[in-house]
Amino acid sequence: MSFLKIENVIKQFGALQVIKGVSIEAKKGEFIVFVGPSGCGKSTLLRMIAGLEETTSGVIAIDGEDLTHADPAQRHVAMVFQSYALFPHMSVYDNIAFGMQINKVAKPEIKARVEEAARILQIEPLLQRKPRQLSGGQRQRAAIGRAIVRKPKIFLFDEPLSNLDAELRTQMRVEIAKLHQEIGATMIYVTHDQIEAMTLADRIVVLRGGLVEQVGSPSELYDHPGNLFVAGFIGSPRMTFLPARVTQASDGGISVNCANFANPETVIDGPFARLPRPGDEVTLGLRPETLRINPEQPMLRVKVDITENLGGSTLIHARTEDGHPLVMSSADRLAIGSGDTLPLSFSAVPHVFDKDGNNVR
Amino acid sequence: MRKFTPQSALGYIVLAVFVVLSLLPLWMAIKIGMSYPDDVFTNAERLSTNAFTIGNFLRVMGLPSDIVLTAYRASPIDFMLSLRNSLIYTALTVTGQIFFSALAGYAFARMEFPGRKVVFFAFLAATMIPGIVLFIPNFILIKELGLLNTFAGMVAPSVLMTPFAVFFMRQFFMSAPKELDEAAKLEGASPFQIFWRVALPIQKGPIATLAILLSINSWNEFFWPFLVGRDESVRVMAVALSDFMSQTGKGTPDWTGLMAAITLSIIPVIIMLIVFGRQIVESLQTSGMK
Repeated sequence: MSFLKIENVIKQFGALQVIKGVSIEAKKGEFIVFVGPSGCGKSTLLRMIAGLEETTSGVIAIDGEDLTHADPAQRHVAMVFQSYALFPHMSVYDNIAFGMQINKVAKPEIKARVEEAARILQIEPLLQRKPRQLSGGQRQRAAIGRAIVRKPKIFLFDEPLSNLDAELRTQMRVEIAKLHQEIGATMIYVTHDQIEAMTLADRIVVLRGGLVEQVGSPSELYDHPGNLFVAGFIGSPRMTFLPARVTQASDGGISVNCANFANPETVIDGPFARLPRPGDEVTLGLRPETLRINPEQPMLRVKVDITENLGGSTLIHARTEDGHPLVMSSADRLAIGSGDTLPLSFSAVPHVFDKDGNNVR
Repeated sequence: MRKFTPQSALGYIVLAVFVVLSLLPLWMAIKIGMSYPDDVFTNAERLSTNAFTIGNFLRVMGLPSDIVLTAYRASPIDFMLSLRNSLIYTALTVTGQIFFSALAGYAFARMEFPGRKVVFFAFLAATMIPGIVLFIPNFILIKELGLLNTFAGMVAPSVLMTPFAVFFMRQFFMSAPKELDEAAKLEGASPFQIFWRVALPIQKGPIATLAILLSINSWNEFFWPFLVGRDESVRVMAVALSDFMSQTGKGTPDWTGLMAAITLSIIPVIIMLIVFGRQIVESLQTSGMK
């Protein structure tokens, strides 16, 4: 049974519809990440679950209870804000204890629960400090502490790491993953950073323009993106897209003609859920790590714009003969300069998207 | 050190002239306050006097003094009583106005209710109404309520809120991060708990500024207390001073006593300006008002 059930919810601000009928379910203990570009409605959807935004229509149920129009406090959810939203005039202790003080929990219990949260988050020495005396990472922990003590049914995170520097972000990402393992709570996490989505999520919900584009595990989304948008959004560096035309099609595979390929007829193996027809315009998608330098049997030639040496690997930004940008990653440290021409082949079957952008597999 | 140029010298000279001009009346008040009554007219045109005394100051505060006025002069005011009344009047007005204006400002900044904008603009429009227009209806109302010569009647028109204070607080509440309110809401705080425990405490700076501005206004307020608070038991300093002046009786006004009392009455305001002056200027700059 689903623990969180969002059914066909719509959010309208005046004439503007920002959530256009979204349905999502989450199991108890699941880590769900909402990901999408700015303005896709992911934060609005999170705030609707929290009760901070009124739901125009649809149903939001938590643990079997319809809470669509309930007050935020009645939903038993806790939220960690992007800005942390720590009360600046209170100590860390009082920040964490705030909800319990409001709800008149007995003092010894407040103390015990605050100390327990502080222990989990390793902020015990900071309890008497004010938020302004804390570093970004410490503030983040204090904000998470305030969420933990309430023992909520669902944790909501609204881009919690976006104010941290790159190193701290990686560190906190791991800590949030650990926290999820340790307390096993249901978590909904909003981010525009697809790396956070890939590393943290049990399941990712990709949103665009107020609609769900695809829901699935990180591997599902990476290996089987449902459409061009998901294919381009999930994965860093981005997938390379090349236009092509289908010349022959059978269940076993299709032949395509792509202006950039050395061979005018390139066979792409099936099976396909929706078999393209000869003459169809399609888009081929190539992941950076599936491209290889192959002087013996080159499938396409590209001109290198720039190479990035990442230490353990190399990223090559290049252009095809007709000017399409292409990114390739290699585990080797390659001695390649700008302007070099590289013969490439691909080691995995390319993704094929029809002219509406949907994956045909 | 900044370079001292002829231009800056000229600037300093102009500023110095203005400082002298603005301080001159104050000095004249202090000078007369420190003169013996018989010397007032003999040295009227001079910046100094023959002999200085603090007798007048002691006298108006009801303390033993070497200056004893002869019978034909008016009876002195009860300075300490007026001081107490001024403090009560100011404290009531300022605490009331801050509390209620903060409540209203918070509501206008954060709460959603029908007609919020209309009501707020009505409030703003009220700042356009000259206060003097309201004196007569307010006076009649207070009189009918039987509140003449009571502190309740004196503070009634302004104790709840003033448009300026509401506007001032609203601006600061609007610039505070909304997430703080939302975080408190998620924790189960009621709207009043959010206001009292989160929104209000983070506005300490603006509240202090508002308190100072309102205190100076209330302390100097004359006309309304003059209308409704004539009785000595509630008469504030500004009114007492004017009564003092008009008590000419058959003889001359008690100029030395009056000036001594005026000097004493501005001391609280001056102290406040010295202590909080920088903060007032900073807050007014950040709020972009006046």
